[in-house]
Amino acid sequence: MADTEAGTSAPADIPAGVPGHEDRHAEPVMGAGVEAIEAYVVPTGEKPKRQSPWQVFSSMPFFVKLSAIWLILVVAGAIYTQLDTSLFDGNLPLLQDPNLQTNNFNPEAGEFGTGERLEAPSAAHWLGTDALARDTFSRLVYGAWVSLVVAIVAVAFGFIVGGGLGSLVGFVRGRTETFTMSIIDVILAFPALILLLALVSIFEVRDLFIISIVIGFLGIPAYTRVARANSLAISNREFVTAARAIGTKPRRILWREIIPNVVPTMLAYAMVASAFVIVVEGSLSFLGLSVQPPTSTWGNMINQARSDVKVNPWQVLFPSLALTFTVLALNQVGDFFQKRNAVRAAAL
Amino acid sequence: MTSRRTRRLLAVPLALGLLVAACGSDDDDDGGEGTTATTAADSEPDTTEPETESTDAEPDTTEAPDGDGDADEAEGDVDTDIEADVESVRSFGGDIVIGVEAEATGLRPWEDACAEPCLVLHRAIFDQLVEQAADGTYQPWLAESITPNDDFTVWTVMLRPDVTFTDGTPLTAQTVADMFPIQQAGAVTAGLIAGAGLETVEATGDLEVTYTLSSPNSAFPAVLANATGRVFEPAAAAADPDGFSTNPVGTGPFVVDSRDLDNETVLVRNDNYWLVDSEGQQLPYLDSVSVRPIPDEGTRLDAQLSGTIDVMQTLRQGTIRDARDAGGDFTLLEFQGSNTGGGMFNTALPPYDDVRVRRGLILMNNQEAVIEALGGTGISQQTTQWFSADSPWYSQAVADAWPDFDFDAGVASITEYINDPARSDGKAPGEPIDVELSCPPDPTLIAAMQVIEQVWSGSGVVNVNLTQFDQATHINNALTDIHQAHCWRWSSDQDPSISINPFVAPPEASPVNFPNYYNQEWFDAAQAAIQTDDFDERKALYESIMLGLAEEFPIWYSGGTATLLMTDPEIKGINGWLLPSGDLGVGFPGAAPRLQETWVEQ
Amino acid sequence: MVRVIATRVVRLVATLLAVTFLTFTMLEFLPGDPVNAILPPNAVRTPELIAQVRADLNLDDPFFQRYFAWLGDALTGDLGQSYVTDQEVSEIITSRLPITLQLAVMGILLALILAVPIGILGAYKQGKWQDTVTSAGVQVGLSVPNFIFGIFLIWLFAVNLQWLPASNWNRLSDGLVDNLKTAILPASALALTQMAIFSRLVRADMIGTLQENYILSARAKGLSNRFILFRHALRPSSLSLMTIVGINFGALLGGTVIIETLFAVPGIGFRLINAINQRDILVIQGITVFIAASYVLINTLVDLLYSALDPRIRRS
Repeated sequence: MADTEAGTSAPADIPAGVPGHEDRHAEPVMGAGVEAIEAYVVPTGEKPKRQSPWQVFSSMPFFVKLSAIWLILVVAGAIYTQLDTSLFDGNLPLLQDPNLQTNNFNPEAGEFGTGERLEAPSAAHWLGTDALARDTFSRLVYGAWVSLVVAIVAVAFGFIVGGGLGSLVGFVRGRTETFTMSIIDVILAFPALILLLALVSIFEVRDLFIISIVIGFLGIPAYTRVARANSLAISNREFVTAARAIGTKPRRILWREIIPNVVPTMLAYAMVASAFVIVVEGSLSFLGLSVQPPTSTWGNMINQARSDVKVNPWQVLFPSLALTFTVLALNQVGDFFQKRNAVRAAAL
Repeated sequence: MTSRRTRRLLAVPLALGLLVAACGSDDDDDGGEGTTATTAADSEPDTTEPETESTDAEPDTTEAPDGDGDADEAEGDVDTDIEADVESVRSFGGDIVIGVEAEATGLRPWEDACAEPCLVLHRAIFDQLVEQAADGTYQPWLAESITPNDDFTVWTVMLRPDVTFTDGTPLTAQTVADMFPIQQAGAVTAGLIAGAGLETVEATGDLEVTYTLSSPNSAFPAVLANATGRVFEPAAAAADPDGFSTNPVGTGPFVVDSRDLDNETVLVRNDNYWLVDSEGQQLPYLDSVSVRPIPDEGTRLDAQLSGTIDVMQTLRQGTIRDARDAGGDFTLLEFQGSNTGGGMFNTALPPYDDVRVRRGLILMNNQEAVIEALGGTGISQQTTQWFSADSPWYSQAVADAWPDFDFDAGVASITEYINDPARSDGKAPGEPIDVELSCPPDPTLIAAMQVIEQVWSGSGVVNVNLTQFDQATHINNALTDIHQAHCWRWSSDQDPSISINPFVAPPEASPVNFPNYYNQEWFDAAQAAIQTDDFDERKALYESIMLGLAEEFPIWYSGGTATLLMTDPEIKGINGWLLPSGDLGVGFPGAAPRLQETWVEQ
Repeated sequence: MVRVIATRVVRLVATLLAVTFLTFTMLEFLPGDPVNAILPPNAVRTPELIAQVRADLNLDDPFFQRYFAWLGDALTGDLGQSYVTDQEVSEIITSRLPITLQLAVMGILLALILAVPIGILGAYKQGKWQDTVTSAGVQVGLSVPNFIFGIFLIWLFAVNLQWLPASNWNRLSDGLVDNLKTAILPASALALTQMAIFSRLVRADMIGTLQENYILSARAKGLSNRFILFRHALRPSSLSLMTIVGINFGALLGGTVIIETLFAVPGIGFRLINAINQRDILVIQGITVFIAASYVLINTLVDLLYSALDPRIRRS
């Protein structure tokens, strides 16, 4: 949408009745939104320069910075949990064994633990303990790994397959479009629950990667439709028409004009979708179809804590907050990059 | 609330499952007088007011009980006694809404499997020939008498005269005989009839029905106290079996007015019900009962607390805990019962075919922690057998024989197996065994499963893989014998012959011998136990089977499964209904009440 | 336009056929023998009994024969009978669908009523504090699982304020007010996520649109902001909004099961999950196909509307 500033010509197809479309062009950067974007962006001059991550980071507004820090923490925490515990003589520093029921018999210690279940936050357990007297903070950090993998794999899978398909058919149209969209319609028309049950049952193994792909598969139709809608709109824009008129190869138009313009909107949707994905994973846990316990995921932590919510609401609250913050942060950062891209494109 | 216990209690100690009233801060309820008193049959003639109740606005389902902030009442009344309240003035009329755990799939006693939530409906619509009394014995209900021949192969039932079905058809011996072919083909009753060895049912008089069995069964009345003895109108059932599911015809205190599946089933009073109360007044007292399935435990409790429903049923210990903690002015009717959670090993599969493995795994099962994880501490008891400590069938010898949690002994037992060169699972000596532990994906069961897993895995001699399948798949896996270590529930409050005899029968003949463990001595003992009506003899025989379980370990226990009915305080009479003989009925086993003597206090 | 509609109809039929076929195939893959799910665990599984159940379900026929038999019946309106409750599948659908439909419509409407102004505000005040606040609110809405929100609603409106019932469903035939009393909480629980999605979309789209030349010129002409925002800017944005509403509405028809379970609303999703648990094949089949059909229909309509609304697409 950033192309209008080029100001070469009026859009070819302004809806009838929109006043002023033939009026003289206002100055390109008058919109409130654009002003706002300018405020975010380090002046790039004529051409965008490569910026170091640090420069990018320092160009972020306060809340986006906070969000980025949160995401970095989540990712770092998730990766941290994958370290080999034997390096640290048992448990990772700061974390406890996420699956150790501290009130139950502890085979390694050979004695009963003295932990309490459903404890409120304390110095010993920063976020309290769950129904099995396990340390909630540790489970939360370990659960980040599952959420991270699911979010990345599922969203990437849906994004690449669905986004690619949608951009393509929205541009190529014709039979390809009809055929593709029919298949997409079939998948979409299928109640997701049945599809999930069937797919997960077919695979039998409750592997994190497979669960992620299954969830990602469910997302394909939505990505395709959104991408197609955008691709359709862009294909009719003047700069595409112009490119066609001067005989640019369709493949080049697709790569150079369509996809770069579809991606930003898609990114905004992908950020939303990542939230969905994490919640879908929780719903799968709810149906007993996600990764097997005792592996902790934010979804199954919420679901398991639910039966005790009247005794200890903390245990539902913390994983929910982790989820909320992460999604919030994803969106903030996603928006930031979207705007940044938009301004760059405008500058080109 | 004016209802604050003006009544005097004539309480009878409950035979079947009496739990200490853990929250007994409420003195004037539990502490009361005369727990040693007689049955309610000798009730004082209370001048009873004739029906004063109009149907208009009682109870108001949108108004909450005004219990908020009444600190004294914060814990409600935990009530585990079955007691007859004979002094209160019983009032007619009133409509109550009961929230149950799940919808009854159908209302055909012969065809539709019926668990506790469904029994609320079945017991209101149908009468059984026999009912259980509070002391665990079986007494005639719709029957007037039931007498065996000498070797318990022929049972003669005299029906009560002048009973009519809700469609006006009179109940005769022929009706009961006509039910039989339908029951023989019924998905539910076919198995029960075969299990009981019931061969023919004949009308041998206007009201005399003769049941002939293929082999002696001294506990046959128990069979007539379950689905097989639930009397329905056979002509209507034969004419339209599918329609009968929504429009059943029975003789019960209530009749179906409307049925909206998964939403609401409205039952209204059967004006021609055959039973009268101890004052000679026509039962039932209530005008209508609306049964609503509310599957979510938290929502059901909230619905009770907010007054959306008047009575709540729960079979979950965590919900019982929350109900106790909830405050407000409610009556809590808890029931411990002989149902126990746990699981089984498929002894047809290695390594579970070796008793050392089974014993080892059970020695490493920490029941206390499982109960705690379920939120059942102080609510449910640990179990060692199929009977709760209050059951007449409970055996101290079995309780002593069942092993306590002993980690080291468990490891030793399995270590012995894995070091055995001839170990049955074909792995190299010294390698840990592989165990697949499977439960349905209920959050509480998942928690229970992880408690067991921690200790088993931690032993170093067991590799545990947890799996969860939906209920249908879970049961299917057990039926098709591909299960390994499998969550399951055991026992009931019925006569032991109902649950134990098929369990110890040869697996190829009895689908419910899920562990596939067969021991000729157990089978013989179970058979002998239905050939005598001497209680002590029977008890000794079932005790021998329980002792056998504590040696061979085909199944494990993870604690009793307490149940609760939580009611608004003005709802009375759920826990103290009487049998026609004047004896106290069984109350509300499994939180499935009989409602003919339930009333709403004014 | 006639041609457009004709192609649509052909596509619709093809999609439906594909869905029925896929459902059949999927049901083959669901673990567990339906016979075991249908018979009570204590039933004596004599070979005759099992054979009878299999015959009743036509389980012994070859896959394609079963499929075409079902399809033939379905075309005449006969979707078969539930093996568990013996209800007609078509009757199950007609008694359950209105409930889910009402929840979905109410949920979407509630969401739209909130989302459009929020999205526009966010776009118009992009980067300002109004945007930050609404965006944050939307994000929170997006990331709170709807059952958690549902539990909160019950806690607040039923248990504490006691304004509304905590659960259950009153059918429309019980009166509109009674019906709305039971519908409003579950519909709100559904609306939260939808509202967040819609308002994000409106905002993102609107930011793009606001930079279009015709908007800039409208601005230059001195038209009032409100006029520009709601008359000119919203219209193109409504296209993607409609797509998403269509998709989500369809998804809601089959995806309200968790909320329906939480609030004990006897909708079609609730029935479907019960049927799955009971392996009640014909019910699963019937409901799945029906949901799919409604879904395809709705989206076909959306697409047609889409063409009608956006001349650019209509013309091409």
